[in-house]
Amino acid sequence: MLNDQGWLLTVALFLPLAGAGLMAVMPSRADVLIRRTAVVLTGLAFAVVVVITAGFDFGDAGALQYETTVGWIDAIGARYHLGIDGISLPLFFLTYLLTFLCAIYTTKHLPEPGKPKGFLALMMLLQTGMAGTFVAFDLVLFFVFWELVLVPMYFMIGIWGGPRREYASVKFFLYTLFGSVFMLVAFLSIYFAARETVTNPWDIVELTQAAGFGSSTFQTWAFLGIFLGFAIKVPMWPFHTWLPDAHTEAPTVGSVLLAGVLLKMGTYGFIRIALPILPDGAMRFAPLIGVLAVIGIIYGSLCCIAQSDVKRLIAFSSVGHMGFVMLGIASMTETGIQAALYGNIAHGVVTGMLFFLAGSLHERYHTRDIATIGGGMLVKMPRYGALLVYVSMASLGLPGLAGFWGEFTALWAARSPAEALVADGYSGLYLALVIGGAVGTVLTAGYFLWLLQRVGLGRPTGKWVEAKLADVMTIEWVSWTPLLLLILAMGVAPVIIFGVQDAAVADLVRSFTP
Amino acid sequence: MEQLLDYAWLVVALPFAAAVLIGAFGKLMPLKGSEIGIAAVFVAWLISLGIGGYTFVNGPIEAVESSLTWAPMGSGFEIQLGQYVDGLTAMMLVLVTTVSLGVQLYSREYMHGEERFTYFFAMLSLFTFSMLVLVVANNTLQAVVGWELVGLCSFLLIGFYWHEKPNQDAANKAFLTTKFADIGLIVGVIVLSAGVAQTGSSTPFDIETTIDAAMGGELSTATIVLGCLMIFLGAVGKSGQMPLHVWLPDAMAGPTPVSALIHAATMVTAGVFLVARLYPVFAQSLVVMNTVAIVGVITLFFAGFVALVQDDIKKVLAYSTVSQLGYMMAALGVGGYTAGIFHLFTHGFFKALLFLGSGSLIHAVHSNNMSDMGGMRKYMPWTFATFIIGSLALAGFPLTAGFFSKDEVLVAAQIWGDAGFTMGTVVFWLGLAGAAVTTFYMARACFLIFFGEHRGVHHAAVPTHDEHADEHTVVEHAVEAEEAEAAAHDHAGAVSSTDGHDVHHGSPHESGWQILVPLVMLAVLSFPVGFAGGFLWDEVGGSTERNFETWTATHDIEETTYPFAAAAEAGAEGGEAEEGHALAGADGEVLAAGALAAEGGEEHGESLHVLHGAPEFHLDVFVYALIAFLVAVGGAWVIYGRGMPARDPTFRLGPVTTLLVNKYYFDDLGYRFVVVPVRDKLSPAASWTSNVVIDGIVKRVGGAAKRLGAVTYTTLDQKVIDGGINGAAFSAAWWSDKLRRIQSGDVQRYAGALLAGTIVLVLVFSAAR
Amino acid sequence: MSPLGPLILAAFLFCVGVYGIIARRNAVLVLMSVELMLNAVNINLVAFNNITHQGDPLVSGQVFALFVIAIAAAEVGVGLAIVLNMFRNRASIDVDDVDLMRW
Repeated sequence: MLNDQGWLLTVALFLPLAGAGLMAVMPSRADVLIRRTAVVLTGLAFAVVVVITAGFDFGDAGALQYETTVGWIDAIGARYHLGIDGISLPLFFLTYLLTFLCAIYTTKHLPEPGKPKGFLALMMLLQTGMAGTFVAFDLVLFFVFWELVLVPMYFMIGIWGGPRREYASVKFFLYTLFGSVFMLVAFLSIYFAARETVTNPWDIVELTQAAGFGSSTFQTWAFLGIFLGFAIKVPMWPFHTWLPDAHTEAPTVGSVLLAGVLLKMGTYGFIRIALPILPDGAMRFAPLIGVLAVIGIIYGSLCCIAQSDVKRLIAFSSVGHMGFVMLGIASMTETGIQAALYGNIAHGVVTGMLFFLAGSLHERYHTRDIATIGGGMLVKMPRYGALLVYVSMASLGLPGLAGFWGEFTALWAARSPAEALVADGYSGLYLALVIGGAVGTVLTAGYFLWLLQRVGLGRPTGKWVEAKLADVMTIEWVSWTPLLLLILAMGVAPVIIFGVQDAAVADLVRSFTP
Repeated sequence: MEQLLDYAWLVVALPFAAAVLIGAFGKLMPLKGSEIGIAAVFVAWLISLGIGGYTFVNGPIEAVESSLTWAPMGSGFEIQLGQYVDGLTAMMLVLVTTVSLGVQLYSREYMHGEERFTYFFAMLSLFTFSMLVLVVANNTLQAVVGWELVGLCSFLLIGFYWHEKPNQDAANKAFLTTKFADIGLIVGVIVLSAGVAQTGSSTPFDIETTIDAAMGGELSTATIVLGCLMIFLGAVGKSGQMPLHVWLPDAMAGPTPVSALIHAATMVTAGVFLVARLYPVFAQSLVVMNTVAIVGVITLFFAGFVALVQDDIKKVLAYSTVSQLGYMMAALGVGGYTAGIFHLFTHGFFKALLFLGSGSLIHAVHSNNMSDMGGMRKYMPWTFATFIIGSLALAGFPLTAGFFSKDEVLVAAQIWGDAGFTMGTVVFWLGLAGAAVTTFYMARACFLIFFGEHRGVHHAAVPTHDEHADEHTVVEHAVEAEEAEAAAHDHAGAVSSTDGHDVHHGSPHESGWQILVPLVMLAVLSFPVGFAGGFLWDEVGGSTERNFETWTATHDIEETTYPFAAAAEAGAEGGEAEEGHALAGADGEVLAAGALAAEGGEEHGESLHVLHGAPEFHLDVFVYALIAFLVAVGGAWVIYGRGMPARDPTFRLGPVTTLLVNKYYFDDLGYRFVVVPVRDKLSPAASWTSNVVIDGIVKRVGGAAKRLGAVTYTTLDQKVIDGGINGAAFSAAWWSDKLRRIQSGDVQRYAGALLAGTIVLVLVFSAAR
Repeated sequence: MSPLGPLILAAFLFCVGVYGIIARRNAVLVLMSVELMLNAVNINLVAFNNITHQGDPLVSGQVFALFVIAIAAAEVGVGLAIVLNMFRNRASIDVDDVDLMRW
């Protein structure tokens, strides 16, 4: 069987790291060669992941496959424990796909000050960090990958970003690090609380099996710590303010990866670590998470309406969409977690695509200000405009496209939350959350339609009447088509995500609900 | 034939395939993709006719359901993709494909030369597909999917002329208003399905399961009431019920064929359809039924009046559509399941006919305004004849389709009222009044368009504008003016491209065959679809055994009971045992909706089969309706019979006119109390909160950290800690400077020191000894 | 035989040597003083061998004295060479002038 070949995962994980090393020693004058090498390397890594996916036993998606366990830091008992299951696989796959597409996109588009060597090396370093987070099953290892992500993203924003890049990058770095500190403390407390009963107290799988250890107070405080770390990354309202700045200033590729993968690390962490290991704490925090999620949905959508910058608008839309994801988690049921994971992937694909579009928009108009663009894009660039309509529709949750299923199932799950929550009398609150979330879908539709009207429809005005604006270019078609198809495929056949996750989510939820 | 029912999905799939093919290859085809759409919908139409024929002949049939798992959604629940074919589905299939076929054929000529002709046909096919997804849905979630998709197609087609802002606004308004209502739909579907899920079903969205659970009393009253009211809110939006009807008149910004297909015949009936589909669930609660009836009756009564002050022919028809949708809803709300969907069915045909007729007129006159028409009877005899048939049907002239269905609605309301429910009586009388209003404005429209002298666009435009200007002093807000422009632009957009091949600018002329064939087809159909109701069926050689009721009734419908009826009846009838028995019927204490008239027999009394049964001839209803018709036509003749009056009397009603011209201020209310607060107040406030308050806190935390850092650095770090460190270093330097002087380099001094040291050591050791 | 005589002689010689090392400025005399001290040690070695190891077949005291004489010869060789070099470089053999190793 292919799926017990654990080394494949390691290869996939460290191929980009090796690639980054290779990039570093290439002469920086070989501009084109560097860009092509990056495409080949990320393509190679993606190919390995395709092989992994092909060899994945979907019938047994609940079990860890491609598992590797090697001693790592014996002094504290941390181990190099990798594995992949139905929950990790879609995110893992998405990471490699998006990075590959970003590499392709970078062959033609790279913001000032150029320097593809550094940029691509950082991107591949980032890839290792992101991918590692999704397959690490040891808390220390997880934390290492988690933190590894910060550095390249910091430099990507700080060097290749927009006018306020220093501010945005520092804010991004410090805010996230602030959360990670609490997370680390919580990890340590878990380690010490579990040391008595669990053989390898860093091991996520063993901790999950032993779930429920520790006193109630311990669970509450430990969850709070983890919550801070993950909630900032998601980001949940009111920890979201780093996101618009980071997104707005980041280069296109940075935004795509930030929205496409980085935010998912937070929700993934909730599902993989916070909920199963600290079920009591999670149950206590679930209503709060739900309330914050719905506030985020409505609030994020309202903020979108007020934005005048296309990219900032899309950034704020992430707050709303991730709210739906968190609402799914807050229900603490299988359906809710399914919804959350689905919403995760859908948001990664759709919003990643939206950021690609926003980036290309900026390259053509040299502005992202909605009023300055002033409409008529469908006249000047019909194909590009059609893509914007298409992806916006997906983002506002139109059935048949990717966005719908995550939102709907999250709302559904919130109507039937875990029995423990119903027993505590939260049923009415959750009904209010459902209605609030549904109101959010309308606001979402509102700002997207308004955006389309102001940017896409009508006739070009002012200087744009005569301006020559290139429609979608070949390289853009190449790097976008997979995402566009994925948006449609996920909408038409949601089973490609739900089906993969089903068994894994069932196992996960069973482990912490009686 | 029966196997045909299993292939109902083909009816759905064909337009989808057509949409994809048109999108991909449409521009390469000789007829620019229109042939693909027409061919696909033609085949779908044939299959639908087969399904319709089979279900009609054998009705009521057991629903044929088949489904496959679309996706698992955790906890063993499944999302299904399936088809549910019964009489109601078959009826909708026939209606949708027929109108779609007619409209597509019509659009060949109407949209000829349009820049995005191919796109238009792709969208028509996509719309047909979406609507059919909704129609054949075997589960509520699939219905939601179809529902949202038709909303999208509607948006794209209303905004077909998206170069102009008013059209964009209309499209956005339509999408957002219905989307707002969809909060209700989504929450309602979720509430109902979550309730079903708790009964242990693995397919919580399944309609059959939901109905069984509701009728089996497995769902709590709260679930049913909340779920149904919420779903009804969705229906209110989609089916243009007051107060969410505001988008529908604006939606006329789309090309006229779109108005005919989407905003008259099919999509707007989706809400009515969904309520009918879940009727057994709705029937479980009087609160729900009354809400449906009240909203319906308000809509049917008040919307009609607004049509009186419209000059734009499409707006007249739009408000008429709103009003007729109100009839359907009201009928459902007073237990008239069959009546409601029968009116849906007949209305679909004659309203499509009227819209296509108006399109033919607009095509010829290059204006939407009735004040620019007049005397069209002479120029466009075919259009005239078919339009008159449509108008008569809408007005409920005897033997036309609208007559049968409207009568059935009124009869249903009457019997519901007789059964002790006040809403029945209210619906009956307001419905009758509404019928008179309908007749009046349709007569007004017909007289203004077809009689008198042809006024033409130019010289008639001025007085009309004055009329409006008068009113605008009261109206005083921009939206109104924009809408007027919207209409003008629509006409400009719709017709401008046809100018090239249209040589007759001076006098209008009859449209070509591709427009006339659908008109004639729908005009002819306006009669038999009414006879399908079964009323007078015997007299024309049919059988009352086979009628619309037996066609669309399902076993679920037949078994539906009104749990509240027993209580109401006990209250209404008091201790009169005999009458109580008559109402309660054979089922005991509950009023059975499903019992057929034939089964019920004499002792069931009237109340049973109205709710659902073959319509029968109520002479009083017929007389009332006829009187209303004659009075209305007569009134219209007196005022408008000799052509356009200098000053339209409907504009001379003072505050009433103001109210009507402003459409009861619903648009204003919506704009001022929803759009403006959300867009201009709430969202900037939220944005401000985010940027200033929350980010302010973040920044303040950052700032505090900075200041703390400064203090730490300058005092603690630099002075205390670093001071200590530096002090140690400095003192070491000072001491070493002193001590190094021992190192003189003078070897003899070293030797002396060595000697001294040795002596000291010797002394010490000897002393220690 | 009383050991007192040779021991007093050795102590005297050693003290003269120490004095010479500490007090004389002439490098050659300092070297000679070192030799005096070494010879004092040699006397002690021979004397103590006779006193404490009477009849020792290895006569280790005397053997050690021989070693010391050999090393002293080598030392004088190296020392005089250094002094010679010093004189060549500085035209002086005064040890007070040689303070390169000071702080």
